[in-house]
Amino acid sequence: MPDHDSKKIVSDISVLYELSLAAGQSLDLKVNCEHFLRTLMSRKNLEAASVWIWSGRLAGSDVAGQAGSGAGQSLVLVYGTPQFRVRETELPDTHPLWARLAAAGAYSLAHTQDGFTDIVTEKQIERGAFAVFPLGELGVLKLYSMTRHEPFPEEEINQLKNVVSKFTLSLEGCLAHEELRRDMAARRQAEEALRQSEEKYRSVVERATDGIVVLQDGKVAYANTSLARLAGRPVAEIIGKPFEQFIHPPELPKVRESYRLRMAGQAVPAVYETVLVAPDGKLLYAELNAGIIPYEGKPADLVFIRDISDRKTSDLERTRLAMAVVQTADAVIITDTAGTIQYVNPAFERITGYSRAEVIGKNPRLLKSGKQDPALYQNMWAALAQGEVWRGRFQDRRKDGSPFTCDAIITPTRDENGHVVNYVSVQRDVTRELQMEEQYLQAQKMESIGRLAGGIAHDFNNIMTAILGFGSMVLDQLGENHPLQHAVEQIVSAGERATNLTRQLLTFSRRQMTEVRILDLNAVVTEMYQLLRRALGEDVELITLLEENPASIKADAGLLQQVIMNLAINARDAMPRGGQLTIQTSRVILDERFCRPRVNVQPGDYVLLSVRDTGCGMTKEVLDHAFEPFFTTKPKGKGTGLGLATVYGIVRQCGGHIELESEPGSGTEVKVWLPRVPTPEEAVPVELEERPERGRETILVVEDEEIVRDLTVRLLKSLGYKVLEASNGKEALGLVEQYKSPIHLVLTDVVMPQMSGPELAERLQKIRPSARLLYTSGFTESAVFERGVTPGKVRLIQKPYSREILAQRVRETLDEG
Amino acid sequence: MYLPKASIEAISGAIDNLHAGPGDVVLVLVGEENRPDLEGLVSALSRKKVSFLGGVFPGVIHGSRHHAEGAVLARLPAVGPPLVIQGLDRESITLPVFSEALTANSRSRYTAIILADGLAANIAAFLAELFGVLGNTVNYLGGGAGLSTLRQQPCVFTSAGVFQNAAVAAFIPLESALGVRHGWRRLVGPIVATKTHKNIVAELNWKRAFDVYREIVQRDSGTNLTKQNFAAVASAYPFGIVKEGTEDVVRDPIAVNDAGDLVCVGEVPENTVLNILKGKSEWLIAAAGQAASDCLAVQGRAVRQSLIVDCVSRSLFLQKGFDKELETVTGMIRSLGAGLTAEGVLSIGEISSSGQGFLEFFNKTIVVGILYDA
Repeated sequence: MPDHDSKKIVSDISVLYELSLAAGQSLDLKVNCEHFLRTLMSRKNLEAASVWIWSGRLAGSDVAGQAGSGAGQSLVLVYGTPQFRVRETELPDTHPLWARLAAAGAYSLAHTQDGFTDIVTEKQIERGAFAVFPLGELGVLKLYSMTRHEPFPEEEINQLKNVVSKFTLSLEGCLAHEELRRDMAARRQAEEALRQSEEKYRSVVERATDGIVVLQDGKVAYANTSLARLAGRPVAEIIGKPFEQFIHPPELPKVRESYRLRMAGQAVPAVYETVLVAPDGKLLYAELNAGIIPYEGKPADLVFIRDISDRKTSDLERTRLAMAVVQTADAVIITDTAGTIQYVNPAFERITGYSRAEVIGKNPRLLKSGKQDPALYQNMWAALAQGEVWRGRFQDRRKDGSPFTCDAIITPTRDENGHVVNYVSVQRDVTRELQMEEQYLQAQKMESIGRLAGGIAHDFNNIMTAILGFGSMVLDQLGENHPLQHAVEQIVSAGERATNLTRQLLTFSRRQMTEVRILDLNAVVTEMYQLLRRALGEDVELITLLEENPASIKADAGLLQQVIMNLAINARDAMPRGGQLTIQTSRVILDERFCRPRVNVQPGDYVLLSVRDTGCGMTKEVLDHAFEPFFTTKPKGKGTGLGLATVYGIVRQCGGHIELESEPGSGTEVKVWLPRVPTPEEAVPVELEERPERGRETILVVEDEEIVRDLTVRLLKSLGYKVLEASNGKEALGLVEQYKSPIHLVLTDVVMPQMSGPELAERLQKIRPSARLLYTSGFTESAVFERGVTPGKVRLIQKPYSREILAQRVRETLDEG
Repeated sequence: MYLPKASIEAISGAIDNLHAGPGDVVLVLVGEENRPDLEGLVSALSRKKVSFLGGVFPGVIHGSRHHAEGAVLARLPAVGPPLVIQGLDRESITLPVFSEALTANSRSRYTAIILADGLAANIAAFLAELFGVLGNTVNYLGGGAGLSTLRQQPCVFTSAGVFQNAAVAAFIPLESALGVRHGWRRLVGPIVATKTHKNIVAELNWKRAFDVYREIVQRDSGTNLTKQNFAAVASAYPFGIVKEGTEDVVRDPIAVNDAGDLVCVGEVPENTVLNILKGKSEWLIAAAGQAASDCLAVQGRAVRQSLIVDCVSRSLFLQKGFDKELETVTGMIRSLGAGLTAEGVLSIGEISSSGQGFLEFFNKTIVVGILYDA
């Protein structure tokens, strides 16, 4: 019977009992190991112990540390005591410690046995004994006693196996707990990270200055406070409402379509602009940046909304400013402070002829004409240097060399620090304005002179009508060889010259009576050729270059002849030693560009009459006054000073335009543009028919000027007519009512006190509708028209008139069908 | 060196006579009676620029005599200055960083002199932590300081101050032979401490601890065990924690608290299997002799110091027999060399590693240590 030491058994049981209860005292792996191994070491009087776990079971564990990161399995030291003994912390699965255990299970080796040193993994162990136990599938438990010289007895190994298996289970629990704790920690960490992330993004979203809205099923699923601010209503009032509520109605189709296509998965621009509307109707421009996101399990449209109203306004302003600079008619030049050009606008290119590329980097002095007073530039730079705005007028030169004048305002522009960084020069080309102004002043002057001359001529004409009329009557009565005949002839001759002079004045002032017809200018020139030939004399060669096609114009033939003759005579006088006179006609089209700098010239089809001589030419001073009445360069008594003035008046009356081109020693060319009219087949000068001047019809003369009325009555009676006379309209009406015989013609002044000629005519028309009507007037044609005389319907004799003219016009009127 | 009067001046002057150098530490063991003001003592010794560690004990031993008054001084070589480990009443104890020299060489073994507050609740845990770091790379020798009244107060000191719930330690670069014996024998067991907390035993065998203990003690002693006579009666019936290969580790129940729990010197882990021990003078004195005998293996070595840590409860139990115990021990130590005088303390718990085994906190035990040159 084997030894049976009951005390020892009780002692062993006590120790095993205590050890079994020491295992699993904590779910923390290390604390559990510490509890168990401290008890084990104390009760078994051991010096060292260690717990090794397979790396695969420690993946992710805190105790694994860097160990176990290799490709294969390894034993990782998770608890070793005392710490100073720890040498190895990781062992390969081929290590003898494990190899022996795998082969034979729990074992013990004393330093006296082979293999002892192979399983030493601690520091400073050369003696004693190890006991090694498998920890199930987990790893290895290693115990060490320094005081033993023999292996742990089999009995003791077997006793400890049971306790170690309990310890193994507790370790499994620890690992499971740690894994669970790790999972929970990871989940908590993930949840915390998610919460923080959500918090962060929520904070970002809520603090974002952009409006952020999530649209789902066409309604607002989320909106941040910035959106509420943009929308002008609280978030609570936005959520769940259709997003259309924000959109300016005209923009709705675009926004709806974009949303529809995006939600349908089609590619549409993420960023676009639209207009939002606040509840108070206020509109704001917004930039939308939209994209699909999952939101609460469903696709949604995440839209960032940025208020770009300010930017839009700013852009519009900038665009407006840019467009203004680009499109303005004024040249804009931006230079640096050294005067180097940095920018010019298209107007600059248009005005100067220089392209932008040609002037960038250059100095504006390239425009200098050389005619400018240097003091102007000195003043300009002095002002600019002091940061002041400078205003002035430049006489510059275009790229093609032509001069131009511009009014300039140069403004220093400053940066945010107040330093002048640029000069902005705005320059207005006033060349045309100056020309126009000059032309206007000239036209005004001519108009004033004409008005004065016309006024004088009216009264003068009445006087001259009497002088010429009665002079002619005296000559008729005196008969030939009468001693006073010569004297009276001189009176009549002087009267005719005076009448002619008056007529020219009226012509200049465009107040003479005209008979406007459609004429072919070529025909007029051709008809005048011989007349001109004679007038020019033998030393002047006359050349005519006429337009092949009809040069139809609307003019009084006589006046037109007067124009040509006056110009020819002037040319002749400019060529005292002979020369060449070229009269040329051509059909031209005057365009906008030609007309723009010229006052009272409209674009259209014109006939150009050019009269060019090779004479002495004119200075600019002469040119400036050439059209003024009574301005002459001819010797005293040689010219009236009314030649060009008359031409000017006739051309203007015809709606035409006249210009002189001349330089001293280079001859003169007079250009006359007359509006061209469609050419009728009969557009030729009307030749006057010879008509019988006398008659027997009854004529009523109505004239408030007694002397004129008396002369007219005498002249008509001398021509064989029966004449009734009245001094005003009322008297005339009374006479007509009393006179029962036919009255064939009423010759009435237009301007009369109490009742005008046209008013009288109207009344007479009702009483004597068959009576023909002939007006006389010393007033201008326009004045006559202003008093109700319709041009072209009635005949009119311009005072003063000769006996021949009176006879001719009366007969014509009576003979009209 | 024994000083009959443990005044600051006397201790201070005696230290001067020890001629301690920079590599030395002076062990200052003070008897509780007429003890000096410890703060003043620390302050006075600190001015000497001498490393020192010490404690107040129920008594000091010099030769075969023990004294409640006076002081024992010993100059020893040391590795670094003494360390202070505080917080021995806490669950978690933070150890200082120890010199690498302690574990660098397996051939040279150091001896740790550890003086701990004997009434601290977590001394055993502290020692386990310490052993978990250093293991048996050093030998451990020391004891619990405090007053015999078992009223806790600051009782250990170094130049860093006077501490309670703390331990002070010095590492001595000397080998040591340790004898740890108590002589108590199992009376009843096994008994399981089914509910404990640190040094408090609430239940034994799943019953009220005091009831179980009282029944056993009363049956053996024939004395009615009460709270009032507990200390006197229980001193003869300590607990023994089973430890293979050696005597049980003794835990001394010193009082019964109001809840009826037994208060011990040193922790009793829950589920510890205990025996109730019983002692006889001759057993204890023989054990003390055996402890001294365990150290005689150093015969022929250059012995530098002998230290005895003998539990104060043994002196109470042995009464006059305690002198015989000391005489037995000192007689054997004297055999190691002429002039070698045993010195030590009457302690509240003893510290040793049972030779080269696991470091333990003992009660009612005598630890004999012989320090010698390697």
